[in-house]
Amino acid sequence: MVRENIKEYTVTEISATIKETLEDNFGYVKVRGEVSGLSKPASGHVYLNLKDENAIIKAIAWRSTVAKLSFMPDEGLEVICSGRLTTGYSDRYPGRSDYSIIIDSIIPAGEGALMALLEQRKKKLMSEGIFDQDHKKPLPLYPETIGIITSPTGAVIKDIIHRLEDRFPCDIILWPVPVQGDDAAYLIADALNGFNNSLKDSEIKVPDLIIVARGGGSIEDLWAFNEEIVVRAVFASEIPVLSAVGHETDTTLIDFVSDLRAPTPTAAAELCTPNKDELLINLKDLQKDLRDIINSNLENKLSLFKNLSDKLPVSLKLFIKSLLSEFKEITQSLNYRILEEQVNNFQQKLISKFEKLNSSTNLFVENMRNQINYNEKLLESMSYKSVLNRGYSVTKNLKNKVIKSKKDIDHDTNIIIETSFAKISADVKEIKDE
Amino acid sequence: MTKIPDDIKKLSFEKAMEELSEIVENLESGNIDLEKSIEYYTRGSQLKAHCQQKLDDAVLKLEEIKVLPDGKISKKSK
Repeated sequence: MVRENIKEYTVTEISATIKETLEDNFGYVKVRGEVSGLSKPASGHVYLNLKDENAIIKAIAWRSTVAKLSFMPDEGLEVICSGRLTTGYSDRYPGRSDYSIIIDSIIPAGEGALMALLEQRKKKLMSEGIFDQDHKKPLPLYPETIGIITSPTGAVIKDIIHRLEDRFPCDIILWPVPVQGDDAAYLIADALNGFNNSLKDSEIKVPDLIIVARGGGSIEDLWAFNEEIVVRAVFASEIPVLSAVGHETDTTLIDFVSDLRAPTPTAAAELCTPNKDELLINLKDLQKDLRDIINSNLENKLSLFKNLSDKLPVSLKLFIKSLLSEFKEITQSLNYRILEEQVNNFQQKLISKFEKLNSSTNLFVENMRNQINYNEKLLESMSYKSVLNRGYSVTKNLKNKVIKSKKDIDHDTNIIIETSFAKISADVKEIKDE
Repeated sequence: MTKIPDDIKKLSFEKAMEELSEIVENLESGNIDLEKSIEYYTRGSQLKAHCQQKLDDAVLKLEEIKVLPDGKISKKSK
């Protein structure tokens, strides 16, 4: 049956209207299905169909997206594609009125597939050294400003604020983000970079510490915290990052790269702040320590002083006493014994010196005597007497002077002729010149 | 009440706590002459008063970041 009152469209008009209706109603979608008809032509774009038991839908990932995909789908694998629903994507058929998903991201669907992907990504990041302990920064002891990246609604931010209020009230800067869904990873990474780089010229204080938090959920719910873009933003953060994602049993990649991992958001608030009440007690203790030390120091010095001043007269007395006794000792020893001993010693020394002198003198005299004897013999051997022995004689006058010339002789006097055997007295009768 | 000098007032809680602990440590080590130890005591008391005041005055202040369409950052106080 043909109805007359229906509006008539051109093909372009109807295509445009369909496009508008479709995009207005869906826009961004997330579709779970099995990959089929996968094609990767040389253009670099990736074409595939998503299907389940009853239906099939086309999906395209442009080359620029393919380069960024964290996961490359395989034929037959169940995946979740996020993207824009549109018609007439093709340049060749601008008005072609079939619809498809322009893929932004693909993740494996199902826990098993996600776990496998998680393992693979973890290994890759680990090999890059992104999880190394030596990249971990210490958390500030007393943070004055804490940045929190989480959902502005929900229990997590309330729990953290409540705990901080109790323990260590400080400035909190909340950077609101969706904690799951397609933009979550991108916006979380953006917030991390923003805290580090965008606040420096603003009136907002750069936090001393960043908490990235989310409540518990399935592995799909927490998936944003496994995305490389988030992990790398944490790694790049100069501000220490404390991660508190999911429950204690959930582990996401952000926990490996963060400087400290808290099992829950409430625990994060506790881990990064001191307890105000304990601090107040500590302060009191420190004050008491100060006072005690100062007091004991003063007491020590005082008792030292007292001790010294008490000792002063006694030690003066003692000093004089000791001087006296020393003096006495000296005078006493001067008296007899030592003096006597010294004299004795001196005497002894004198005697021994004298004896030595004596004996050496005797020796000397003896030596001299021997020498003289010897010389006498020598002299004797060389004297005229030995010549007389050979028949000569010596003539002397009465003055016992050897006659050597005429003037030694007087007329009518005696002369003495000495021979070896006798002395002969003779009268001078005549003196003839020779 | 201990009067807190301006240079201490400028110290962050962390720096003040650090210096206070150092002072107690120095005093505990002994071998400090009397005048110096009294100086330390005075400074320590002032630091303690400063920390105490910071804790007593501490209130939680919450601000929320708002990213404007042009990418600029602003804040809305809660």
